[in-house]
Amino acid sequence: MPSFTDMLREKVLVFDGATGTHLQGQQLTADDFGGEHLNGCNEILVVSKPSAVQNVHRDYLDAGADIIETDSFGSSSIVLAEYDIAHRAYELSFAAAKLAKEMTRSYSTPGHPRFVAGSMGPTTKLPSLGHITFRAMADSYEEQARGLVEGGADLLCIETCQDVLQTKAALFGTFAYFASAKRRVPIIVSITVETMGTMLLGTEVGSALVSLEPYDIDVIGMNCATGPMEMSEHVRTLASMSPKPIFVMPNAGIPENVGGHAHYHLTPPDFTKFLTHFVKDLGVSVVGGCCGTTPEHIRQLVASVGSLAPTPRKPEFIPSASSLYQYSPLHLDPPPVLVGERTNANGSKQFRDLLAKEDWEGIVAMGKEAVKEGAHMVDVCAAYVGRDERKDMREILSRFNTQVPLPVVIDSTEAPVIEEALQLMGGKAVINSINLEDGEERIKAILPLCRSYGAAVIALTIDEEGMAKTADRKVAIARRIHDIAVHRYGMQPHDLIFDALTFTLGSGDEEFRRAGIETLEAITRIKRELPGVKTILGVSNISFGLAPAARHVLNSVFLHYAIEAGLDMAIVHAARIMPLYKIDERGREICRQLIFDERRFEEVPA
Amino acid sequence: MSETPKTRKVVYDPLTELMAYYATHTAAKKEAATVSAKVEDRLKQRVIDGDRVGLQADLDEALKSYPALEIINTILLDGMKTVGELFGSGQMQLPFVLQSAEVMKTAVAHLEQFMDKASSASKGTMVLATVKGDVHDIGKNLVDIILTNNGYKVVNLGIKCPIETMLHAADEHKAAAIGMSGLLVKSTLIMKENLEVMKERGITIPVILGGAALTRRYVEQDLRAVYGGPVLYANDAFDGLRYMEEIMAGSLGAVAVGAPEDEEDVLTGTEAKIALAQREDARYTAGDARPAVTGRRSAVATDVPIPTPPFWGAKVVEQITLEDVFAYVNEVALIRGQWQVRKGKLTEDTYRAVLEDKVHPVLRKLKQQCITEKLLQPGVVYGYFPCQSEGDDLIILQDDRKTERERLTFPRQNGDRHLCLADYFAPRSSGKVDVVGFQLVTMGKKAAEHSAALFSSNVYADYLYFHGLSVESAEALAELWHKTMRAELGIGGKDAKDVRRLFSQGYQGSRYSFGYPACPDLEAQTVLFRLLDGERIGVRLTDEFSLEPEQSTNAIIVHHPEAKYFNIK
Repeated sequence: MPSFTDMLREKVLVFDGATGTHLQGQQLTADDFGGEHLNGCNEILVVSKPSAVQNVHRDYLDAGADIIETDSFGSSSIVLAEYDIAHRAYELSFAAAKLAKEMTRSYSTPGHPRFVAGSMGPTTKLPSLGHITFRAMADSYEEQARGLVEGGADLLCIETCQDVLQTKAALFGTFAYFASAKRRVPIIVSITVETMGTMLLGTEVGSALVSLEPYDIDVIGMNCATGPMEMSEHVRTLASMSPKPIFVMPNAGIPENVGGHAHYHLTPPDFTKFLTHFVKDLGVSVVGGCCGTTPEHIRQLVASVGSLAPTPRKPEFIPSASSLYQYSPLHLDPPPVLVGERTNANGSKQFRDLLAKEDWEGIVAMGKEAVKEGAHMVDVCAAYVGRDERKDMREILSRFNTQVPLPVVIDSTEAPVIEEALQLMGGKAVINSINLEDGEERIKAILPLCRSYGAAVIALTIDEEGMAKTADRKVAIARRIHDIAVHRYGMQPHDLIFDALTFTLGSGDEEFRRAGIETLEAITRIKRELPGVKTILGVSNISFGLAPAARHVLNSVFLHYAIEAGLDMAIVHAARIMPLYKIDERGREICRQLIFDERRFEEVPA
Repeated sequence: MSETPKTRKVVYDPLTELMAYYATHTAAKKEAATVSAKVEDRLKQRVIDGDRVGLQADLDEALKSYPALEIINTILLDGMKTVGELFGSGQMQLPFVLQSAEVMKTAVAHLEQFMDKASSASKGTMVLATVKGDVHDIGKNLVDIILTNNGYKVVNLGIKCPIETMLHAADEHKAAAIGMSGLLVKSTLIMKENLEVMKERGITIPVILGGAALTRRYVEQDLRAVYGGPVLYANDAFDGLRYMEEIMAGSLGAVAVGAPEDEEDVLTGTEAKIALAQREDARYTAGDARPAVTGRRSAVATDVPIPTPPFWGAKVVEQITLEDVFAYVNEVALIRGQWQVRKGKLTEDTYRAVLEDKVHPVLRKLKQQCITEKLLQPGVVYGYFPCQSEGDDLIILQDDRKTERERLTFPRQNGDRHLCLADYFAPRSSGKVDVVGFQLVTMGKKAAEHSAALFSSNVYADYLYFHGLSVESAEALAELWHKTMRAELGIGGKDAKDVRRLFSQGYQGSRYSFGYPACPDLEAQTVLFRLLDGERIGVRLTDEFSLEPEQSTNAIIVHHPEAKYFNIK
């Protein structure tokens, strides 16, 4: 029998339609749910009144659906706790999958295999708003995933996602289960885009895609909230950007309140026309119906698209970092991407003072200021002697997640601090940083975190021998890190950002005269020899030790040449650079000569 | 470099040179620091340098020689243009661009008090936004300033704006153009997507694009090709003004419209075809840019999407509950019109008390009585028919969608707009077959009988109340059924949420009853009766062509987005 993944490549797959609407139509009584205290808990029906759920499955299988969803939208302990039956999460998830699997077994034929998707809803809590911790949420999802897969689900559908951090917790829990069970089923992740055009907490579709793209998931898409027409703009965004196949499961229109009941007006033909358009013109490969859709909607949908091959797409994914709200590409035109560095205990006295006073709102204000100053991302470092870095990071980032619209660069040397930070970020963060100073120790600690939480990482060209000074060594170290990260840890090259480092030209030491040249050359070669990776540089190191006016100018001119060499991102404080046109010819020329070491010599007799 | 270091002596070291140079020089360019004698130059430099200190004094000095608007349009914007060039060539980073924009904003805020707005009447409206995913609004806000100060109305939607929001605003404000701005390269892709969405919905409003990452070539070749209306590249804010002037004057060159695709494609853009006037008006007309009336026909669009009805022919509906009908009763028409309970000289409070204490209880009781005694028995017969227009005539076709089945002739306005009901349907010459709906609704024979009984028993108050409710219920049923038909046609998405607004045509399309100005010929109802077989629900057309029972009404249902009530002059 072909697998879901086989079929996904071969043809457009059709999910079933609404479960809740169908169950409501069956006029169930409190007794069917096992008593008044459980009335309305649809997930209990798989044991209290399995025939009602079987009716739903049967109608959709008869309508021709390739995939039916288990009656387990809220079978996690978090949701079941509302009915005081949190302890039954595994049992009900297992039963839901088993029930559905028995149905598909009797319908499946080699020519038309049917699959069971384990439905995993958003629960009732939003971790970004502090309703629940990431870990607690992940644990609950892990239990639900275990129940569903062990009960026979062929794939999992993490659906109706409201908060990207919730989605990440669901993925974390699911992958934790896969790791412990040493097995894996395909995963669909489906977000919900509200009528206002973003997810509930304000996340843009592109930003959600950026945050979820690093995960090892099979299909990405959207469901619920609106009808297909309102989704069309967002489907288009996914179609143009997503490297993964796309899933679309709209409601039968926007619900209208008719006499206190939600009424969905979109007829099966109109619903089908839209989804057919998505499939044929935009390249959507998995479709289905959410609230308000009926077996007739699905029957017509199957008739229209069920035997089509997926339309090929040419997605153009833009490697980026993201916040809960928006994404910032790792390369901009004109360059560079500016990383604000003031929210850093090592670099800013103001920040240190606020930290000492635990003035969290003041720190948030600094983060917001970075936006005004034109930064595209913000570096956050809470390492301050004598303080609990982990706790401080938690205080800062739980606020930044919802209050600062820029993606965060998590700047720490401590893996536990980084992990804590990642559990607070709805967006895709950048970790600063890894290197080979102690061999592969840091890589071993950090790269699994990048994979588990979907983060990009900055890698410094340092190895066991110390900071690389020549272009050759910088490139060699970058290549070594690249190979470990890509081949051993499955990182994508676009999530590796190399910092070729630079030394000051201000000391006059013969050893460092070529520091600028070596760094510029390394940037060009890393970009050329390791396709897809990005480069970053802390520009102001070049002028360390010089007087402020000279530093200001040298930083600015060096940044200019670094960009010419191919630099993508710069860690810089706007107050420490100035526009090139403001620097007079002579000053510019002296800096150029210094950077390229154009000293003039005279031969003298020995 | 030399390979014999031990024999070399450094005669020039840029490091010592740098230290020496900046021991005596400040970092910033000398020339820039010297204060120019000319206030024009000083102001321009302030914008470029992002230098706000002393700005107001310079502005006040400039005001002695120039009107405020000219200071903005020439001096300050000239500075911003330089900023744009420096940014584009990589000589200026974003933080400094933002500082320049701050100066610009401060200056405009100061100058605004000295400007007389061009005129109170706006010359035209532009909906303006930074596209989805982009937060940069400097360029966009400059366009806003310039257009506003030149007499245009600008609906500025801010940053990160989804296309749906722009289209909604363009519709709501009857905009003549949409301006999209964006700084990032990814924004140019979003602009392309936006234009594709608009194309698929059959929208043709002119679109003006601006932003650092755009090039004329990209806009005029790539973007123009994907859109059905004009696409214009604005190199700077003044281009935006120039284009608005051309759009309002109707002199926009045909060149601005993309390479003409084959007609079939234009007319059936997928989302347009899916009838999607559901929520968005299928068509925007650019105010005065609408094509002039040619010949006798009105300027009503002939390329709107044609909905597909769920069935062809006529159908009877019986299972309609009175509660549903009552929900659509226009209580204002009932109470003030039929029942003649008017405010007159009563105070607001007294009138409200009358309504609360007397009228509403009567109404509630009466409704209940109608339900329990089945005094009102709603019936509907309705249907959809293939049709085409020809001049002033609407031709209803046989099922073969070719042969003429019936023909209705409607009057045409003489004056201004030359409107005629026939114009809302696809003309025969287009080759397309349109759809027309007809409906006939009644509150049943019992309504007429009960009214007559009350009248003859001399209980006039009861008669007045019941008769009024029965007549208004027929209207309510017609309203309810029109709504159902809109939903079936897939054009219900534009319906007003508030039932009361439905009474003032808060929906797409229109319902024209025979006897009203657009279709005054009562005899034409015979056609409707033949199409629907109206007698099936117990309604009869009398010799004088009135309906019996009186608590009945009929209508032609038009789906065209421009169709509204009009008078024949």
